[in-house]
Amino acid sequence: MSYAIDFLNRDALELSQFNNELSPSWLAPIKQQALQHFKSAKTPGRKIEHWKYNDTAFLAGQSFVKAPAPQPNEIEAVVSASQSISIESAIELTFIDGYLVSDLNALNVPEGLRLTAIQNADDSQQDAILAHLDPDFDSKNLLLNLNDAMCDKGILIEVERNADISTPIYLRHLSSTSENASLSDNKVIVEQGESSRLTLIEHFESTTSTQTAQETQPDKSNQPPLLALQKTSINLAANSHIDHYRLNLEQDSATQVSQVKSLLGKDAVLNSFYLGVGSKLNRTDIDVIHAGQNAECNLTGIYLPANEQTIDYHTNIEHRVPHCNTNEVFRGIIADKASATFNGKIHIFQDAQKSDAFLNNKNLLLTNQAEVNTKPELEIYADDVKCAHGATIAKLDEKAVYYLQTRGINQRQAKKMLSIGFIQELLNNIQLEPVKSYLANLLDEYMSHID
Amino acid sequence: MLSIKNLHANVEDKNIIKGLSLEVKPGEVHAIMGPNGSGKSTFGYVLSGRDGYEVTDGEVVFDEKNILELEADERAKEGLFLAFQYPVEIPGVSNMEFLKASIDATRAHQGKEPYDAVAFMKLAREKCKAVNLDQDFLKRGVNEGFSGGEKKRNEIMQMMLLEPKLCILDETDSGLDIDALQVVADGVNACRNSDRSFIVVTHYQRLLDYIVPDYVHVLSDGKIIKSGGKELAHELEEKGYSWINQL
Repeated sequence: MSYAIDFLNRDALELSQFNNELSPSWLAPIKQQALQHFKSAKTPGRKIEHWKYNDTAFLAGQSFVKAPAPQPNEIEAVVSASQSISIESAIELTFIDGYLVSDLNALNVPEGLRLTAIQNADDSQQDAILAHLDPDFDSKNLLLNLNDAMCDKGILIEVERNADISTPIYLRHLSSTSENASLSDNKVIVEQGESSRLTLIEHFESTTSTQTAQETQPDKSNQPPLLALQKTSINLAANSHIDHYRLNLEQDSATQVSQVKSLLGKDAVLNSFYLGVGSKLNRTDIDVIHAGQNAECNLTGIYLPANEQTIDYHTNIEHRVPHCNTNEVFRGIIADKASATFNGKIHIFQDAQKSDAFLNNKNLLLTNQAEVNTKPELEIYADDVKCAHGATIAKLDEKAVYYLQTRGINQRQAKKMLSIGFIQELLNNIQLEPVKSYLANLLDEYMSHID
Repeated sequence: MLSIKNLHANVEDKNIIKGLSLEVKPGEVHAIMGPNGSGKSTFGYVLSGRDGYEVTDGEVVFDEKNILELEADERAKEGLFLAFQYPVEIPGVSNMEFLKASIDATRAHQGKEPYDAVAFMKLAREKCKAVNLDQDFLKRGVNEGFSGGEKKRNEIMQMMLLEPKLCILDETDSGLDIDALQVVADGVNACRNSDRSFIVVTHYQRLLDYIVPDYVHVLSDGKIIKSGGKELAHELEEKGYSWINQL
């Protein structure tokens, strides 16, 4: 079933347009609520704080159709054109344009782990899924509401109480190039039981492998946008632990607006690493909610926009209860005419005494045309907390380049070494060895092409 | 080895080096002394090819090549080494990675194979020991959090590794206590041989007790106004820089 969404004319949209024979009826009420938010929201633009730094022109005047389910022959073409990270013994699931194309029944799933397509959720799973969806909370970003309104597909990952899942779950999100402006949607819902452990890798990759794309060499600016709307929601029960990686390695034409929301119970630990490379626009809203005492969140991220790309991270950390820790470090290297936005907010609620929160953002601008907008923000209503935040924007240190040159290292290599050095500390902290070495090679290659 | 004739150089359109000439033969140690603002550091930067240091006149021939046409890294690969007065801190780039990249580039230029990781480690450890630096320094960021003395010893270690033809030591003695000075001087003296030359730039005669020069030159207002043997350094120390202005 196909439908068109024109962002300037949303009033006439009806839920029936989004639904198809696969749409579960139990999702309908929340979809309806999300649709209402989507319809009543202001159109994104420069005058709206949340969209201030984004060029949203691509939304206007475009009519998006839902990305069709990939055909069997396409699946192979898209998968073979992509590069997976080789992670030994990982449970690998592949999505194309948001559609799950892996056969869940064919997987060897360890005890304590359960993987279910959202459409196939049983009664208790339905309740669990609905608890993750909150159109009111997401109404700051109408595209998140649109995801809720239209999205039926995705995966529910459940980890049983006390289960220590040593096998990483590796989600590969691929996208195909399409002929029309199209819209894809997807949800990943993680439900971790008490004292459980999980490693989750989300890898987003767009390919331009279709033969027509190569033959005609389309002008990049005229390439129809594939707008991917993706939401990941993680619920961590008491004392549970997740190591989470979210890697966006996209082509210049890719557009993604997404959200990762985590709810931390008592003593829960969230370790999250983000990487943004490529994309016409890649905007990720990261929401972390400390809802149980003594929870810990370690959030690190690296963004590397080049050419005319735009990469944004909007983080919102809510300390709702006392004694929780947040350690947030993001670094960006902006090349060519690219731009980036880092919007980092830490919100300490009135009751959240003894909160310990640290937020730091550093940016390196490689050219005079590169742009970064950074806004570290602390909103504190408790009076006994330890909080710090800071941001810097700088160019490469000319003296450091010269110093390396006087040791025989040419200017290009010197700049590359200094750029990698700028983010090295964050790379060193990556615990999962295959991801670490994959990224080391990728960044080495990437930095070799940066002037 | 090095022949400088009538060198003039500007920094931000200001004329700093004003007709400097100097001949250095293989194996010689030349000391350049002078008061603050005489152009000592600028001289090192101009020779090593720092951006923004513009040569307006004169010539510099190093090992029969006109090096003024070369980039800083190319000059380094030809065998010119500058030990910095203030070595730069580079967090995120490990000393080891830095040294390996430096040696690899230099050896590639000389048509030599790069060291393998094991051989390089062995060499780097050996040189660390020679300048009394703990091996942990190899793992740390380049000069990151090093004390003044550690930074200077790191410079000398690089010099030992790169085996340059000409070493310019820019106020290597500044900020060093007597013990550190001894270590640095021992490192330099160990590198002295009949082919390798040194230009030792300093304020104070003290360093020249440890690194004994063949020639001493006095730099004032961008040119050499007096040259002599090592005894000139003692005379300067005794009479002060105001003495030379009366010459």
